[in-house]
Amino acid sequence: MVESRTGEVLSAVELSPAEAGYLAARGPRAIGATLVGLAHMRLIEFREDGKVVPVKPAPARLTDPVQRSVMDFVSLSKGPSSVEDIEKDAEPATQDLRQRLQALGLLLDETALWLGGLAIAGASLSAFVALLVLLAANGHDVSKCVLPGLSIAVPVVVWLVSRRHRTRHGNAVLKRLQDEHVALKESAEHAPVLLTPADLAQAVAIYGPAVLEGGPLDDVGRALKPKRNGCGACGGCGGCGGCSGCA
Amino acid sequence: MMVSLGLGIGWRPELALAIERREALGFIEVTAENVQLDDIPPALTRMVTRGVPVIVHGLSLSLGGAERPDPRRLDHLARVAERLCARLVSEHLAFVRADDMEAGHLLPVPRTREALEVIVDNVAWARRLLPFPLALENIATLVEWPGAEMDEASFLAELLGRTDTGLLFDVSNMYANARNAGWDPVSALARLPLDRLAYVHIAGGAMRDDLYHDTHAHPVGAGPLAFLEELCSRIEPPGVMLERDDAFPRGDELGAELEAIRQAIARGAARRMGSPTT
Repeated sequence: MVESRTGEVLSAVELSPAEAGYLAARGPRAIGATLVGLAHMRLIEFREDGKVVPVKPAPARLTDPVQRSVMDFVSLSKGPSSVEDIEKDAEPATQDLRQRLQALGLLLDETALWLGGLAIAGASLSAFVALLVLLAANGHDVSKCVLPGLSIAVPVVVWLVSRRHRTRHGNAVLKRLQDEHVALKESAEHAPVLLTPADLAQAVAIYGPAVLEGGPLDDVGRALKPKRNGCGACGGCGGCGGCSGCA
Repeated sequence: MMVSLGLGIGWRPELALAIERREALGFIEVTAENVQLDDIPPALTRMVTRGVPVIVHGLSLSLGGAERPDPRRLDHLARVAERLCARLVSEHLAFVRADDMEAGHLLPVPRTREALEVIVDNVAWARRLLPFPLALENIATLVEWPGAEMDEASFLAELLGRTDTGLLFDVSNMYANARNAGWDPVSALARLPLDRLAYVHIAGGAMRDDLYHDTHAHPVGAGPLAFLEELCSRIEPPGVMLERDDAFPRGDELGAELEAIRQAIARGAARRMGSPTT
């Protein structure tokens, strides 16, 4: 009964591209999908250097907060805008997405995030201490292992904690989206220009900008790819949200 | 020869989404050479899982060659058909290589008794290695071998009869050949073995240098559609499918093209049954 009801809930969840993007990889993915949709609507354009310029003013029918935020920023910028600057500026507009996804039970709330993070950190610390004790019991000098060990363990724990943001239902919904939209992925990889802006944005939201790489929109895919410079172990500024120091 | 398939389309990755969204799609045709057995596109597998009938189409068997078809190519064709739960496999009445030279095109066979004997042997041999029904397709060609002893329709009829194979009738190919060579394709219908008709191909083309080219890159024009209607006024084809291989259209344009084909079939059926076109 519970499984059946869960299945119904999962299959009933319909997400916009921005929501699906947020569910998959938080704000940067949601904004990336939005940028692709706007570019496909020919409201903005990706230049060869990966920066974004406006093409025409946003139409009145554009009511989505993330779309509006991106269009406002790009239109008001004095020069071409970098994807990173757009992401930074539009991030507050994605908070509505987070709240809706949390309300649907797809994203962890703050308490769950903290409890989960503490659990991961606690378990990792316990495992590390146990390893030191084991090594010491076998006659090893563990004093030289503490600093190198911590320098490896801490970034790994930070990475693990930062990666957690979906609930089990959220993971299941994302998996369903990825399974159900394989034809969308195929078409986005081979003929993205044939898709509607909403479909193309949905493909990027669910599968990431990599679906565009190697195809006619390769430059857009590369421009949206998370930058890794200076982000150490976190895996880039695109997904983890914890790399405020990245350029 | 087959159960009714309805209206289908050649599956291409570029069209994957448009194809998946067509709820009333009768069947899809998959080109065997474009499928790697260890990397079948999930979107294609999903169509199979949904129960959409699949026909596997070959390009490279070279059944019309002087040499017997390569067993490895036959094996690949059979394995793809098996993996996609195909009902039928099809190939061209053409040759694409001689010795180790690949032509890169489907080339016409000489329509002589001597060539017929070789092709009958090739097809019979292929059929022994293919655990699926086989249909052969007439090709479009801009060249003809001299010394033809039969016309295209009669050659096909004898070959299919002697090898007990089905007919994949490409109306656009015959339309192109007839238009370029100046003969009447409708009169050829009477000599075709339509009782062996497995399914029908139709595609768009364009005029270039005073010749009609079956491009598969343009919308289906009035000529091939009228020829399809003629065919359907004589027989109900088990299946008719659109081939599109380049300059892919958007989903709505593809839908309009399929609708034009459906209407041509309906007009032909109405004529066959003696009722006014609806």
